[in-house]
Amino acid sequence: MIDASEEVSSVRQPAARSAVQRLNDEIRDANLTYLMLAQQLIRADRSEALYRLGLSGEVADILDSLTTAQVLRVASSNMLLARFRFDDSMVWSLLASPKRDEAPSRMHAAILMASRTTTESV
Amino acid sequence: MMARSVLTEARQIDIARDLIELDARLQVLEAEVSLSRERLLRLYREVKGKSPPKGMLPFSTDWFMTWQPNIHSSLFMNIYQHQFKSSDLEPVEALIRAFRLYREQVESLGMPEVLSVTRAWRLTRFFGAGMLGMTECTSCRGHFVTHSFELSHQYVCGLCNMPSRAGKTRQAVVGREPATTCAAF
Ligand SMILES: [Zn+2]
Repeated sequence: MIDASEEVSSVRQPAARSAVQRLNDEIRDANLTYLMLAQQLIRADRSEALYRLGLSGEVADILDSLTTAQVLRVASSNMLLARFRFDDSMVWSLLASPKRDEAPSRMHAAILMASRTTTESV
Repeated sequence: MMARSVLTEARQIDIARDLIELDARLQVLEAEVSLSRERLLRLYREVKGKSPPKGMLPFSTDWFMTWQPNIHSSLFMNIYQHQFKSSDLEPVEALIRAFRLYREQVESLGMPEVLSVTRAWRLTRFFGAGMLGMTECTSCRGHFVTHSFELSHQYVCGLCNMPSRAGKTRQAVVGREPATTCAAF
């Protein structure tokens, strides 16, 4: 009995560690994808990028200036760098609205997202 | 001096070409760039392969207050104000960029383009003249185009308080109305 339970826990522990490691890898990948996309958008067209990303000019300039080595270092964190921009439930409930209400709801969501972006940047 | 004037002219031509590609009317071009009417007409024919349409521009602010145009104008104006405030763009450049982003947005929503670039330009002019402004909806906190004298403490937007016509025949309205309003413009 005792031997069996020890065997189970000794098997489970490395497995649990690797699950955490996997999540950290996925967070790092998401960070990397986000940073590279942000740099690409900023370099293609700064003012459009500020609109699409909802970043301030100052932060955009910092992201733009990061070297590849810096991007890799910044990305390898166990914290997700990007978060949802629109932190009110109204935007999300409109975006997730049922199909039959789609057109006006999605337009409403687009206006709210644009309004929130305009307010943030001022 | 010489080099600068050539660069200035090249920039003017770029702006004019961008506006023509977005289907701006000749009056918009004449107001925004300092090229002669003859050169603008030639540029127009080169870009579009035809002469620009003739006719007067609408002068009223009322169109922007009707249900569907108001929603499209509000989306555009939010984008425009962001583009204008977040960089050192000239108003006409902010107009071009904002209109492209507006077009991309309505296309991705599968909606017709209710606002033309000429209307969008008039809208920015009405804002500049203080005739129209943005008012925050007290219900959704979105910003919408309103007359400047609108009472902001009780304003509710057309999407929070949808008129029965817009709700009932929504598909018909979405499909049909722009065709008539755009054709007339
Ligand atoms: Zn509202």
